[in-house]
Amino acid sequence: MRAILEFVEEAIREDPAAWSHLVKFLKKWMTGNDSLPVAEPERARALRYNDA
Amino acid sequence: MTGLTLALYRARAALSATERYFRLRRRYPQALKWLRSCRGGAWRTLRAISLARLVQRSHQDPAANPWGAIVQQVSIEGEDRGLAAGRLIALFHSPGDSLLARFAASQNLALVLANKGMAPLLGDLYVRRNRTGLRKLVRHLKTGGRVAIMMDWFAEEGDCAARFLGVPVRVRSGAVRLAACARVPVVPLVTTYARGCLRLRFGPVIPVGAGVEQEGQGRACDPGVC
Repeated sequence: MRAILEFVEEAIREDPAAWSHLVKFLKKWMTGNDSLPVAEPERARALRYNDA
Repeated sequence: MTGLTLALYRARAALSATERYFRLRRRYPQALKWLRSCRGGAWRTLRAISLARLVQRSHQDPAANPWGAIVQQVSIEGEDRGLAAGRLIALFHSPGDSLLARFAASQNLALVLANKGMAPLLGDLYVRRNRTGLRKLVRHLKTGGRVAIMMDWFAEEGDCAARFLGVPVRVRSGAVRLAACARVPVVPLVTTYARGCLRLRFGPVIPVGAGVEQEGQGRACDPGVC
């Protein structure tokens, strides 16, 4: 598994556009799941419930 | 693709990259820091990603885009070029995916475990993601066939701990365990598309053995699948 990831990592570092999920990955794994901002629909739903 | 279309795509990609750059700077500074370390810097990297996405979307429809009009050259690189018998080809999602699917279908490259969206492009090579599909793949591998599976399933419940792009992640090891069941090696493949050239870059041939169980926290192969 590690050997596969190493090869792909090297290819992505060479050409970041080679992996479609790069930005999504960076957002999720580099930020840490706990500190991810609340998604817009959830925030909108929470506001709606608060109003009710 | 004409020069004018490409120029329009480049302009759209530049706008999109600018928007994403500022959004990342505001909400995900660490992600932007990583992108800054890439060759060419963060904005250029984001522009390249946006451009690749736009080009991919424009090429997805086989009726509107006959093969010869979009791919003038296919370049295959790597140790054994992944084309030997009995190989599990490990893929990552890339902007060249739809073109790779069409190439695989035309060359009978490998059975592909994919979602329904890829079925029209893959034809007979498409295998559904269920237990029957997995059994079919193991049989195919054991008889010397080739199978391609997407590997980039990172999830909290993934059963294999690893580091990727400098970050600790958990990866689902199902594809590697499938290779272990069929006793075939794994070959990673990265696909890119630029200026009419589809580039398939195969990695080293990686034998899969006892290490899989260790990496997979002692989980043995599923007897129902094997």
